[in-house]
Amino acid sequence: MLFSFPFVALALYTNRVGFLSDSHALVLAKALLAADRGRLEVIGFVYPPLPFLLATVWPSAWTVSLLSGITAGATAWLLWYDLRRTELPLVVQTLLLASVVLVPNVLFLATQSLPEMLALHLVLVAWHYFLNFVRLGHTWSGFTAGLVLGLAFFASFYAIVFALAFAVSSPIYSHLRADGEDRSPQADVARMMVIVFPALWSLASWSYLNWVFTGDPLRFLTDPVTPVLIPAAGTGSVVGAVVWSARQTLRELLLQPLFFAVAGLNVQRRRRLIIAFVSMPLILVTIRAAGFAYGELLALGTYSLVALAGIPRRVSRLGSIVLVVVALLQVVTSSTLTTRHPWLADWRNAVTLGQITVEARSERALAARLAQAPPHSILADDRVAYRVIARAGTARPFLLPTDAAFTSALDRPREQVAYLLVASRAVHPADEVSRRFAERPPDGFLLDGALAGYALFRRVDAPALLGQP
Amino acid sequence: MIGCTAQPLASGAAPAADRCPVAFWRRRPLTRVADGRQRLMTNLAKTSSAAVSPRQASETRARLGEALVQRGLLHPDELERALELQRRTGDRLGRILIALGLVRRWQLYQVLAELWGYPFVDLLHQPVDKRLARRFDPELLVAERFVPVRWEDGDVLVATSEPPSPALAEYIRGVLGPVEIKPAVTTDWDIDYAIRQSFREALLDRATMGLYYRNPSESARTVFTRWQLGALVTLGLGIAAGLYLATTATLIALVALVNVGFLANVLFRFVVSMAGAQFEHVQAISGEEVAALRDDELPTYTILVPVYREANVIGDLIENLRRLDYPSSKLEILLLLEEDDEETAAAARAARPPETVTFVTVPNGEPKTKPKACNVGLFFAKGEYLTIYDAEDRPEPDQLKKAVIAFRKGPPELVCVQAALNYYNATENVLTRMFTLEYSYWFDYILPGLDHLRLPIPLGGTSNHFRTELLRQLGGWDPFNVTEDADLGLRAAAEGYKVGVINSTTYEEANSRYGNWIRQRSRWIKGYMQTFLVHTRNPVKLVRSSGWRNLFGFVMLVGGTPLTFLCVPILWALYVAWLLARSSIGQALFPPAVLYISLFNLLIGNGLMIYLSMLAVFKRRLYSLIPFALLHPLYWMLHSIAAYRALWQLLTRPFYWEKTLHGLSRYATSTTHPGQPGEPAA
Repeated sequence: MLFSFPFVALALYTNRVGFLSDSHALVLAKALLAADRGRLEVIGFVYPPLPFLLATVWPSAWTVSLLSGITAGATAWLLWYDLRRTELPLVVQTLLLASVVLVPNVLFLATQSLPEMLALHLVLVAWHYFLNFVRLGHTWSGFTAGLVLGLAFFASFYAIVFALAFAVSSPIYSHLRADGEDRSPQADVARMMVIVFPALWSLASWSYLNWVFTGDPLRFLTDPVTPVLIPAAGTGSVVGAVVWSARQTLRELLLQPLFFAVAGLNVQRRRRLIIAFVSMPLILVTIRAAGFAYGELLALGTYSLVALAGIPRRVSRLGSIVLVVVALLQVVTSSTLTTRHPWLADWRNAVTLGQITVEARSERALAARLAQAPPHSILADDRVAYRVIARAGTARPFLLPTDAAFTSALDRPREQVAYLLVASRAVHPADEVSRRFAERPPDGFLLDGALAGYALFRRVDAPALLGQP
Repeated sequence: MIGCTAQPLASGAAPAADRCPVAFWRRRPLTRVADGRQRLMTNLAKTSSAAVSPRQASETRARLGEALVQRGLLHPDELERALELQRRTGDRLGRILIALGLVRRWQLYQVLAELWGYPFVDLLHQPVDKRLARRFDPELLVAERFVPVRWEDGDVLVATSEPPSPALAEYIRGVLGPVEIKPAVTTDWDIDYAIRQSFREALLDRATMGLYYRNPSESARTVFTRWQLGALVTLGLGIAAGLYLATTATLIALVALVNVGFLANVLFRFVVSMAGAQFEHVQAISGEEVAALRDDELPTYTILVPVYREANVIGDLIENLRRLDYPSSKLEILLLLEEDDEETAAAARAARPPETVTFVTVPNGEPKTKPKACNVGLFFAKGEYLTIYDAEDRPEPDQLKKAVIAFRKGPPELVCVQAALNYYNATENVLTRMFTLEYSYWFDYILPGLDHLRLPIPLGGTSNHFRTELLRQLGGWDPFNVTEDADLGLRAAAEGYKVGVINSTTYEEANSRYGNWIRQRSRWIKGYMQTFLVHTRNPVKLVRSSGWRNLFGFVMLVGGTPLTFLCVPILWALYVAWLLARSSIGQALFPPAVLYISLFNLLIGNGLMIYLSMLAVFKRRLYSLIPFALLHPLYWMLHSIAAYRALWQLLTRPFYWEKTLHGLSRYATSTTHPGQPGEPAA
């Protein structure tokens, strides 16, 4: 709880200021929808489901912030646990932890990205058990690592990747053991199965659910809002994709001097652990080249966690000094990120100045007005309008693709709904409502008002929500 | 006719000349014994412990040993070896000589008869007067190793395998009145044989009805009590009425109930498995503890081996028991042979087992079940501890020692410790692989988990080790229950006793044939049904004695198992029908909450169960079995077939014991050492 406190406090503060990240908005909108409709099938349209399910317990922006902060605190505690096992001075341990968890990119993840924070936390937990499994041969540890990775799949698709990576590396670790561990190929395959089975089972289960509820088992991979698979930017060939991914990964690594420093210490002290340091960037290059979206902040968070969790127990005095220096350097490099991403800058302003953007204020105002509408009276597509739904704090006024009447409302809006909410700027190809009506409202509807990138059409006989009646 | 105050051979003491006056018995006052058995026991204990000095013990050893050597029955080197063993084990010289096979039992007792100064009597050829014998309590005859043989001119000839004592004479007179007693010596086998002959009906009645007489509500002899039958009928009528009046709502309620039950079962098993798996690297009893155990600290251990139509495995049985790391002189192996099973008896005789193996004929009668045979065995058991092995069992050699340590470390109310069971023919075929997956999960995760969570443990069929006296207090096994082991574990828990587990394994033969497997499994499931019915006869009492937590564990394990297997085909049928037709009827039966639970059971529940069994065989390093865990849903269908058969039998033949055939495996010869799954014999 102590470790969670700063994160929870920051998350709640930014929430109070009015900042709402895209990630939390999406989770919250779906949670509100499930709570209002009383059916969880809407999870068929959202991935990952675990944060969403957690938020469904009490769907509000506060809940998501709280969960995110608690998860971040638990992760920090795990890292602190690892640091305390080293023989580094307490000051150095504290400094190292602070240099990793109290930098903008990690704080953003910690307070504004529950799915990714959850995924990082679970993978870190799995990593600890995995090490016990391969070092000591405890079946229970392998079992727990596998289960946690299986659970992590419901927080991030990349749990599969980590599960595969752990599984593939388990024979290497086992072969490095000095005791009489069975090193037969059969034993290696068995170890791999123990690690990877739950994650693969989770993948199969989720695909099955997608198939049952959407007809497409792999829909979650290409979901319009949170796609797992995206075409790698600027590539036309496999080689091009690899080059692009490698460049992206290298850029991120340059922001992580601590990762290199700890890898260097491991070369000296614990060579077996160097596998993790070498394989991590390679894994990221591979999955990105394959078209999977692995966000920059998640990547940086992953490197930081691996670095802190991988510090050898014994570090020389010189090594300690080097670690402190690179930790400070990492703080500096991390701070440059806020200038690179506008949304990160918005968050920084919210944290430091207590201000949110004009657009965010408009969005809040729009949501407040829409929340007053009668139930299921606003035809909208939550693949675009999720931020408004989240801001509104209720999904009740909206008629959404998950509702049975959605299709007929698209065809005969005048008979089914009183309002149409469309994106007034860029129209997302998957947003059927905007695609049909953004240019011209259906007969019997007129523009009620435009706010925060949305246009609201109202039926001529319906009361105005944004403008004057 | 003479008598003397000779000390029991158990203590190794000899009758000193000055304490063994001629016709001592005659001079004793002929007072009636008020509480014969108790006083006799007490007196014997006093005479045993008070009057034995090391010098006397040494004299007896010397006399017996020398006498055997003098008669050419024993070589001096063999005597030295036996004496050396006696110094190590503290056991009787006679028992050691018999256990080592150096002297035949009857030869030994003939020499003892000479040393004690009494005639030897062969009870096989001189049958006892049954009417006379039946005037005594058979339990006491067994415990004190004597039997009245016949009247001889107003005197009574009493055969004993222990040195006669005044207390014994006093007791006999207490029963028969003022009579002269003519002692004679016979072997302990003859005593048991004579008791079996004389008390055949009583034994049969005690083995069959003992528990029922003790407390009818603890016995499965009554399948359904009135209220249970009434409740079942009411429930059936209620469902029928519901289906008639509100079909959909009733079906939804039923589907919901079943799914919630499944969910609870899955979560319960997961929690228990986690608890069991968490302590996998904590050895309950370490190798060091076993090594530190001295032979002279070890008590006599009784091993019951019930066999029926298993002539083909008798040879292996002898070999497997020979591997036990326990002083053979302190082992009492009772081979429980059914009266009508001549074939197995002949095979047992032909196998020429060591003299530590005693054949006990179980009187023929219904029900013909293993627990009935075990009750007969329990009656004759003299060990401080007792265990059961099946004929084909291959226990790890140190199992008995581990059990002894567990009992000594455990609380006084620890009545039983269960060793793990696994299979030596795991890789024989798909069925044996699946069976091994299941057993590994059950014995390596579930039972240790129940132990750690202090939940009642349904015992496994064999390798359960008991404190003999506590087992007797519990009433032994229920011969009407076809999973008497599970019932006993739960009865023990209900009566405040503890059941634990030990980290030792007995390797058995997994069923390798489907028909045989179904028969065996249907018996197990029927037994679980019986056990559930027995223990829920008085729900209020059950809650009071066990508590809610234990009750929940009991319901999940014993009630949930058969119910789950009965419901599985229905749910699968609903699921397949929905997959094929995607009809709205299927959807109507699964409102949101039910649907989510159902999906959880289907996806997460199945996945967890598969993964847990994978882990269990991984722990056992049976790597090649891991992929077979994926076949579990098919394996569970087999369980369902067995469950329906079990239900049918519960209604039509509740006490029928579906015999499992053993010795079918091609791995069955005992060339494989415990600890490793077998390879086909050459």
